[in-house]
Amino acid sequence: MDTERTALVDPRALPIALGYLPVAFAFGLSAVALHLPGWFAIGLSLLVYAGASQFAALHLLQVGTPWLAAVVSIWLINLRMALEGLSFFRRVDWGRRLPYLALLLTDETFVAASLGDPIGPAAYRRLVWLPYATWVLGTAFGVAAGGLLPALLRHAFGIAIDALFVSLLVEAVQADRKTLWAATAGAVGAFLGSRLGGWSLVAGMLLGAAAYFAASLRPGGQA
Amino acid sequence: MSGWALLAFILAVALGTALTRFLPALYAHHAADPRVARLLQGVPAAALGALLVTSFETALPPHYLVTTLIALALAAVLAWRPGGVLWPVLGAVMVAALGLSLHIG
Repeated sequence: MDTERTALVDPRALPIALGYLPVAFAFGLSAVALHLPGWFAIGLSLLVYAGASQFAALHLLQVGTPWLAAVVSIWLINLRMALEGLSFFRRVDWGRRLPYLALLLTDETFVAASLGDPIGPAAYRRLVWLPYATWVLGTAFGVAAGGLLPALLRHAFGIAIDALFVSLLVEAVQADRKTLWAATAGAVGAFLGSRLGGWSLVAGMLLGAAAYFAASLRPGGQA
Repeated sequence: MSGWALLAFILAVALGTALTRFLPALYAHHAADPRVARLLQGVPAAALGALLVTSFETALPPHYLVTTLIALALAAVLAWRPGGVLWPVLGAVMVAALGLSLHIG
């Protein structure tokens, strides 16, 4: 629950924001490189805030996909968020703050907020605002001044989110060994799903959840 | 595509994505059945494994597999001792910067 009310930012938000910065920057750069207006890239980051689908949007527009087909494709890409929201928001009563807090849920903040003790609205807000602000500002910087950040640094920051995932996984496995089954099955599902075309995260989450469920049915498997 | 079509595109995508995020959250408390709850309990770790696979190939530029593995191994070692995620992440970023500058692939 929310025991710490003084910190402005959850420490787990920093690596997420660090990881978002170069990606958002690259997104802004890519949009301009494809001769799309800067406001379009910033608008997508501001209102959609979902990296994979934003890059997919650029690709779909670049290859001339019809308007409606592109929109529906992006909805499908973002369907995994329904599963994440269903898993995350059941643990705490969010009250009237639910609508806007739900809009800031991403893959990374979902994982960071879900593993460990349940967190409430205040702690969740401390986790999500910085990555969102970084995502929008990073896009704007990418649009405005593409070459300012050295390429070496931009690439090195790319490891930040993966390192965060590894750290969270180590912590989670230390607390509950069954999460290793879920993570392994999730990885296998994602690998297989990517071979089936664009369903890697959804496939991984379904397979991993099933593996966790199966592991918890074994004698002594209750968390 | 005209400016208006692009604006409509943003709004349509944003609306669909917002509904995808918000509607399940609204009904999440109805997932109170113990079996459903146990199934959903595994979703975060499953997502973690899936995200590691999908982002692994794009974390660093191609041909830097050794640097990537060393950086992530360091993150795992640093995370084994309690103390938060900041040091494992910063350690991995520093190793990545070093590996990239030395072209350790």
